[in-house]
Amino acid sequence: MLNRIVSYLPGQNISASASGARRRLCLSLAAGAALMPMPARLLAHTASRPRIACIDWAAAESLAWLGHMPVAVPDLAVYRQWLPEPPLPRNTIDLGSRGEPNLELLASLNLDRILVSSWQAGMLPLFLKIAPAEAAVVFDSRREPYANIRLLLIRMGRMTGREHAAHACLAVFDDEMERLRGALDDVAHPSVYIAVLHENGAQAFVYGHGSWVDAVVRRLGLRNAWTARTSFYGNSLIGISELAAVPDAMILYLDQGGRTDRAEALLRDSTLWHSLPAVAAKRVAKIPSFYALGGMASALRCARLVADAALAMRKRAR
Amino acid sequence: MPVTVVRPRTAQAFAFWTVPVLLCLMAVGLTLHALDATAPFSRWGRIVQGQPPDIVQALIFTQVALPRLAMSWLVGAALGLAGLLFQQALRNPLADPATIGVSSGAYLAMAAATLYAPWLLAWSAEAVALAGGIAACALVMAVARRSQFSTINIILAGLIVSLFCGAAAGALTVLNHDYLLSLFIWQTGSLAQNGWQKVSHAWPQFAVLAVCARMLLRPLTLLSLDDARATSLGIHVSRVRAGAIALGVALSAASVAVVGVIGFIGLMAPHFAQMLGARTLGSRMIAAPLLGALLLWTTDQAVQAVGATTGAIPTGSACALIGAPILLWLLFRQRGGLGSRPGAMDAMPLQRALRPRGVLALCGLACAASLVIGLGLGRGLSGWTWLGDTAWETVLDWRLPRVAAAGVAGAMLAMAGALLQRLTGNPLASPEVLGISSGASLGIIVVLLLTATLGTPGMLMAASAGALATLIAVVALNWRSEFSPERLLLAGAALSTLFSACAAFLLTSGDPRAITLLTWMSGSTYRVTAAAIVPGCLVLILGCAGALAGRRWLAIMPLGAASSRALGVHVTFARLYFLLIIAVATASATILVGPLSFVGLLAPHMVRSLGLSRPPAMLAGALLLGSTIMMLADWIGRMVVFPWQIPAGLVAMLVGGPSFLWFLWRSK
Repeated sequence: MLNRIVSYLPGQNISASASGARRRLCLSLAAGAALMPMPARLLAHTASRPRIACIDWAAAESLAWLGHMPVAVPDLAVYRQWLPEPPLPRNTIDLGSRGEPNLELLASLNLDRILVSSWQAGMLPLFLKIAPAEAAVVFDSRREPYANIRLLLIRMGRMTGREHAAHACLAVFDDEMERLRGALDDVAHPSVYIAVLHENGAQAFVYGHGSWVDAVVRRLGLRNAWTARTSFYGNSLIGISELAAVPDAMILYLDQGGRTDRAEALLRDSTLWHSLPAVAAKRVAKIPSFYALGGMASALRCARLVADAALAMRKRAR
Repeated sequence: MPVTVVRPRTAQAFAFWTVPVLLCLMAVGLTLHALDATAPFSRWGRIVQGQPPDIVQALIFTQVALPRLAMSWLVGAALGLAGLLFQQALRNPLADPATIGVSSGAYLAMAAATLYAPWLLAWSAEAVALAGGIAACALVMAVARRSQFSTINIILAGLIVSLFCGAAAGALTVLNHDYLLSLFIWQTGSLAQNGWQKVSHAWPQFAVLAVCARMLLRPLTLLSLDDARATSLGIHVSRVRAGAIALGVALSAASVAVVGVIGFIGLMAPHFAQMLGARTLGSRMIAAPLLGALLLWTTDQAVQAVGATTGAIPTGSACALIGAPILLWLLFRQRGGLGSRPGAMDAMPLQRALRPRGVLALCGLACAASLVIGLGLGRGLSGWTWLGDTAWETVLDWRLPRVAAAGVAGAMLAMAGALLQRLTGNPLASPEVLGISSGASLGIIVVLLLTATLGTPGMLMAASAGALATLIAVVALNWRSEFSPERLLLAGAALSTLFSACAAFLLTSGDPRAITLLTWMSGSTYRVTAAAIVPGCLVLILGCAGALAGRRWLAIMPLGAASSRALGVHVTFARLYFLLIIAVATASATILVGPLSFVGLLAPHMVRSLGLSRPPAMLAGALLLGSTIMMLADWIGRMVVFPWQIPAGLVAMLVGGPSFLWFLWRSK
């Protein structure tokens, strides 16, 4: 598969676009924390920098974007792979599995606060024995995760005394969305499937209503081609053939390493895959992975990846 | 010992013919209905001619629905033939790729290759599956060899190998969280297709293997005779047997490589063929693959019809759901013996230990040592830590509940196992092997589905009810045969299979509660709080008191029902009394550490081999060793991959499974 997408660094392209003091402030916060892991660690012991462990990755990512690095995160290797920006410092502590983070280790970290995922709310009593703990809500019955991740960023800002930085980051996000939307104004095929290929080569997860991916795609001025039912997390496991339902849509699938490679190997020989209208018309691209259950930084990454893929496709079509 | 086969009379055979005819009609009807839903009849002609009015419809019709149909025929036929080969070569009416462990061996190899050597899969998935299948088969055969390949030993060894592979794959998923779903979908066998390439890749392999099987027809036919007569007719018995098994393994491994694990088709098809009057091996070799194809075809179409309204059901789960009751039915239809008993009473040495007190003291010491290690020795960011440099709260808050839960659960399972072995006179009986743990888990699953949340008392009641119901079912099924050990074990095996099918179905259904179920099923002590241990301790104390109160019965009952009655024991009452204790103890242990561990088998066995045979001493020893094993398993699970953790139940299974095979190998 063609993959001409350049890798992304946080803040890239932003300084080239419109100016703004709050934007620079936010950038310096993010870059500063990433480049100076040691001072961040030293600072963390002072009262002004609460030590926070994030069992939930969206919370960890939001904190990191605000320049307040979480002390510990579960499943760190996969986190770095799926949420590469902003990067966590090298001394971040790995807590083990996301479902069962190591409590004994957590208790030894001298924490001020613990943030868990909303599906772990039943385990809150365990965490409360260690430090004040609360759930970071992204997915709930209202099915508006996009609004929730904006709120989450502001909540993280309040918690760490960086509310102004949170608002600055939101402004960066909105300006960037505006810019990308303008660039995408004349894309010929505005419908898009955002998919993760299943390694059985016969199925794929697609994002739709109830995911923030859907909201991001719409804010880019594109149309999400998947409009049918979705799960609680806003995705749906469908047969490959269902990707033909909107014939003029493009298919963007996430590069999730070995899993995606195996799926591609199976699809290479698949008569069904090659007869999909999008594949036949070469309107299909592999894009670097983003974490669809993450926070605002992941949403920004998603927006840039999708927009760039769409623009690259337009350039090739000409 | 060869198994006598029930040969149906002609009228009966005629009556049986209605079943495949009905199945066939059903399959055709469902298929036409499904295809019509994909694309209306009127458009088929234009789709075939390549001028479809609707491109999507045509794609689904020609690239999804039709290849899936072909795949169900192919795999069904391959499994039917594999089952026939196994049953003929082993003279074992219950053999099939799933029951002798070949499928799960192939699945484990594929899962491990997915994670650690993906290039191997890219090179040849069949070769990987074949290597796993051969390894599992060789293990089972090595264990069963000493008992002259007795039916029961092969099936038991196969069951344990399957459980072990399942546990090992479970441990892999715990450590590789994001692969979880993919591995499960493989395990449950899905026939979903995305074109003709898999079908065109698989059919030549199956065809070559089928031709090879046909070439073995004559020598295989002579295998129906006993070994001596077959040898005198010029057959190299062990070579023919090995060849047939190799072909069976190759067919099953190739099936796993293309669609995943699909059980029981291979078991049912040859029996069906026989009921329909296929007497000679030659006719069965044609009938079994055809019937296998028919069975899988019908199941798959039914699954799709049901799945259209409720969401996708993996075909493999559906097959197990249908197959487990059929295995039970076949079991009770067998009139002949089931081969040698695996270590019946004569294998239970009744010699007294030289110094029971000394042995008990040693057990106590081991228990205390594992308690100290579990509480004291830990790992932190800076390496290993001992009690001195650990905060008191850490030990009290985080280690004590887990160690206590593991210890109490191990003790309860060991008690249940010791009582069961006494009661049935069968040294291989245990709550896990008899399916009682599975019954307890099913109780929890049912309640979990019906209600949103479940407190500890609710869990305990649901699990006890499930365990008791299973126990009563097992006993009732075996009442006539007076607890004939082999039937008891096989009935338990069938129940375990039924349970894992239900659980796998739930796990792939996409229900958010599945995650809770998965972590609980793998036997983790992670969520245990100090409060949750109290009911477990109470049950343990009450159970011990109850068992000790009935110690005279325990000493007498292994002598047999007649002798017990002569000695003034009310046998039925005594049995029910102990069954109740076993059910409640198993249920509360299952709540704490899940259904996987093999402690209930292992601990009483070890105690007996240490020479403790009188009921009170044996019970005490089993309790101590049971809790030792589980506490160590919990500790190992916490330490080995720090900061990650492997559930205690999984660790115990990874140790307990091989130990069971060892006992089985030693028993004659």
